Amino acid sequence: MGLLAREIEAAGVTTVALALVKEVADAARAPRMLYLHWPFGHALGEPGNVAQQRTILHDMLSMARAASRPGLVIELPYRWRRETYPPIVDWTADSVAAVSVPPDEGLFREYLENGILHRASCKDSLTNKNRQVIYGSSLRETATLRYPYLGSEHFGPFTTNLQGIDGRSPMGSGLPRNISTSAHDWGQGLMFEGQNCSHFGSFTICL
Amino acid sequence: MDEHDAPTRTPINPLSERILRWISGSGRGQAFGHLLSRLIALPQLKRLSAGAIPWTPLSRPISEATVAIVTTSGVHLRRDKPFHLHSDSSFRVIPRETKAADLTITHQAYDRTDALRDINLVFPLERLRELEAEGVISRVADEHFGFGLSGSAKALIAPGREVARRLARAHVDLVLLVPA
Repeated sequence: MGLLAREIEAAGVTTVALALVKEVADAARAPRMLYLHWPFGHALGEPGNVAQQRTILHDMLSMARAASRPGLVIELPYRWRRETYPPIVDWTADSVAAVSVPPDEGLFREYLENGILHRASCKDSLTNKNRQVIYGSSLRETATLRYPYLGSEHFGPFTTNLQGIDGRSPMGSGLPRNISTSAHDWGQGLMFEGQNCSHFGSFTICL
Repeated sequence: MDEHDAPTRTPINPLSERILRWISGSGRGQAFGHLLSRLIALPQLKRLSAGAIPWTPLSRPISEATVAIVTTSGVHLRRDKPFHLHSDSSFRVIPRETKAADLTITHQAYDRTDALRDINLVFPLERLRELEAEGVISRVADEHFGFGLSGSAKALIAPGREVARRLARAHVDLVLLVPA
């Protein structure tokens, strides 16, 4: 897959590849790669789930247009069956899940300008090691911030954190206590007692 | 979707079929499948993918782009010669107007049950035609390409180059690559 992508890209045609095995996605060194932790034979999702398939196509088109450099591997945050796939409203807008933004660019700059951003060291609950994290929240609560996902190459996995705009969490936690090592847990922090949390743009990124 | 609309199933060894269903259908199976995939593919990839990564940024907006699919999931036209199941580096051309019922899957390394129910899981041609009709993309390319299971990554380079040439000649702007 990666080899084919490289040959096609070398012939002057833009490529976006999907991969279902993380190590293969990394080793293939394809120009643009989206990784999904989904079963073999299901790269676009489940049979008959058109919204899911269209979500992946939207992610691929977004990455084709917005990837900033060759060799980017972006891990999509969708959990296999435990996800709802809203219809794509605007195909000309990039999918935030599939667009990687270096720390000082684009979406991230928006956070810097409009939200509060903190850098901190905290303990990874799984490896028990200290890690650098960036966490913060956006003042603007927009639907486009639903996937505050900024590219695994730059940041590694992240977890969302319910952090208030004044730096204190409305849900009682200061620093993120629980740093997930899996991006598939991205959405957990957005639900509180069965309801969507209003701090939609809050996020934490492990460095 | 009734029987006639569905792609046909190329028979493979029933034992393999059961193993593959286990690999796709259970957590442990998936872990095993990933392990196999790493063991077979990684050393070859590491050897062959050294050097600079080629880079062709999109030259026009998506809404003006011609888009093609390349899949390595063993999809091909029913009337074409099936892939060799153990290892086959050749490719098959799939024209843009192909219906699901004209297709079949010849591949013995994944559970094809769901993909045969909905070929878009591994070859999203119908979805792409919808995007063309909605004006999201400009055109679905005339030719798409299917590869089978190739045991040797090195053997894929020549046919890959041939496919790349054909895509470039057809002025395709964007290729979506979908794995098995």
